[in-house]
Amino acid sequence: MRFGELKAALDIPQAPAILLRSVSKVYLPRESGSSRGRPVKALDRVSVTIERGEFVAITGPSGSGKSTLINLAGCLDVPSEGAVYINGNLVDGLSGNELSKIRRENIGFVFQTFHLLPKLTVLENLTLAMVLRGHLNHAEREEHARSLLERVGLAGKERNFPNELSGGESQRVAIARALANDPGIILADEPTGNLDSRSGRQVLDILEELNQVNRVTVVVVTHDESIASEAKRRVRLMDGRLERVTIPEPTSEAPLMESA
Amino acid sequence: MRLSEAFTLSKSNIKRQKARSALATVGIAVGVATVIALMTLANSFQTYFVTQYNSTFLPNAFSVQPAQTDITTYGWNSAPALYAYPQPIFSPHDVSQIGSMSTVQAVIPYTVKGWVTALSEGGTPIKTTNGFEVTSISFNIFSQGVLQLQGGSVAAANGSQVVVGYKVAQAIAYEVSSTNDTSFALGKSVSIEMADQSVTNATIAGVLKPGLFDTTMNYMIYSQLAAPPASQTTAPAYEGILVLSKDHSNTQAAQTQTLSYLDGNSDALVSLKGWGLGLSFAAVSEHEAETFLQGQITQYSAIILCIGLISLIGGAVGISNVMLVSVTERTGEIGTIKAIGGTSRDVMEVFLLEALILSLIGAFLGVVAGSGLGWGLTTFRVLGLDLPLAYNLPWFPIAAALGISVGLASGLYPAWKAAAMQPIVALRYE
Repeated sequence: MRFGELKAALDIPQAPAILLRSVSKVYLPRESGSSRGRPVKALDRVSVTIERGEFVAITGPSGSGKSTLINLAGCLDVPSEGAVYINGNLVDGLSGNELSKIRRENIGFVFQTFHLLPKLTVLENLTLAMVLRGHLNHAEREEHARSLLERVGLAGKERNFPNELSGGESQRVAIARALANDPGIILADEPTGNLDSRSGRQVLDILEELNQVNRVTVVVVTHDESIASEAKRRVRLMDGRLERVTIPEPTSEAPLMESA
Repeated sequence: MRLSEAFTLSKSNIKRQKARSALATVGIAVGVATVIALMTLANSFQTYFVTQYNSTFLPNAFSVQPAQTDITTYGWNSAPALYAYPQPIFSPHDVSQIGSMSTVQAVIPYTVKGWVTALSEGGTPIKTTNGFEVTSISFNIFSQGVLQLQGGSVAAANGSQVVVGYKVAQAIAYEVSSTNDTSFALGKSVSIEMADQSVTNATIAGVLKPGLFDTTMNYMIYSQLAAPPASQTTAPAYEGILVLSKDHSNTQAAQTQTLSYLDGNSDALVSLKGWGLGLSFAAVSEHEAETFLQGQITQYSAIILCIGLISLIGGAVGISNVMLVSVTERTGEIGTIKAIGGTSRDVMEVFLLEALILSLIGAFLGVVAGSGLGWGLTTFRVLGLDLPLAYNLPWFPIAAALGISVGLASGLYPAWKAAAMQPIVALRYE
């Protein structure tokens, strides 16, 4: 038996990009911002596995726990119970700085409201992510940033400030920034929520291309069924619980899921 | 994150909040400038004082007073200070005994007469007589150079002559000749009315040089001390005596000699016994007065420094305020930086650098403004200030360092607050 065959035969399946095992999240009154009231259970024993290279949509009505789920998956928050694995590594009991390190090396974020730094130029917004990781020199960073901008169709906007961009352009800059450190995972929380349909389409096309061409794992939180229908797999949440996981038929043209 | 990159971020933050950043910088600058300007003034004051003191004070003069009793001091800051017990103590015999000592050059006896209630020149009343005072003194005080005349001359034998202080001469010259030129007072005949309603007529034979500061010496009228009858040389006649040693080096010896005479076998001691006072004398030399005044100046400088430090605290509150508002305002951005992989240290660095930049600029501006202020206040004689400019150079770096540390310290809490922020909480903040 040749070495390659042996390896293939013994190959342990790659660890999933994101594994959430029975995670719960309880917000105490103080954390949720109100001074009175009872603890709020945003997620209740939810288990989700997202394999590498998947395009997954997380759907559900407001308050169903979509954002909480993606925040846990992105290590922006820690679960009250349960475990989170990123690329097979348990994220548990890590300090804020260790979580920062995991984020900057593995995960790119795209937010509904873009979250670009307003006083930095487009180029500086992109290089900042690389600066924080600190693994390229100045010239390399700028070159990489330019190539990313070209990729999202914004070459020539390097010197612009965020307030000089349209919503769609801003979101494309945000995607470019999410890609700055070549993460394996992109987490997008309502990426088209603030965009008109044409701009939303562009943003989605980029995300899909990233997924199909570059094999980047993409997780999109959305309440827009038409977006969700494009995902290969949909995770639907309701009142903090997993309602169902749907895998559309590859040949189907009509939406498989009736809207909830 | 490298320092240069953190610096770029801090700089962009400062630029964004121009007005607030400027105010914080001004806060530190004002604090530093105040410290420097005030220390400059204090130093100028000291320089002025030492210069004036050395040119007017006599290091070989001391006056003698009864110890263990309250004494009335005439002109605590005048040159010389004339200390007197308000009763005649010293006899002409004492004066001649002390005057004949090997270490003593001269003895100048005096008696304080009291306040002037009215003053007129040839029937013209002098309106301002506030604080004018008459002291009878041996006119050898002028020939010995203890008091120096600006104009005129005195004759020891002429009992109707008076020498007036600078302010007295000004008041008379103004009333009689409508001028501030004190030489117009010379030769005028004046009637001096005292609190006991006695009136003395005298001719102004001399005008004193202006004294150090606005001293009581400027308000003095010195009349000639009448020699007592030869039969009463052992009776108390003078309230105080000023003793001049032959030179500065034997002032101490002259003091010892004088005191041992007075404490041993003097007419003055007999006077003390008669009043039941403590039976000893003490000497007050100009040197001690100088030490006393230097101590006061040190105190003033300390007060001045405190004022400067208080204003620095004001600057600190300013920087803290700017930084805190800035942290709140940028909560969302802090969240973003953390979400894309920034650590607490990165955030802390940016905010601390911001405080450092503001304090550095503030400290620099403060040093410039402080030196300018010190220069301006002395050069343009603001509020009648009349001091030579003498920078207190050691305080420049101290004040700057104080300003920078105060600025940094006040940036510490906001920076820590920013760094400790949870990314998820910060992101949610809009």
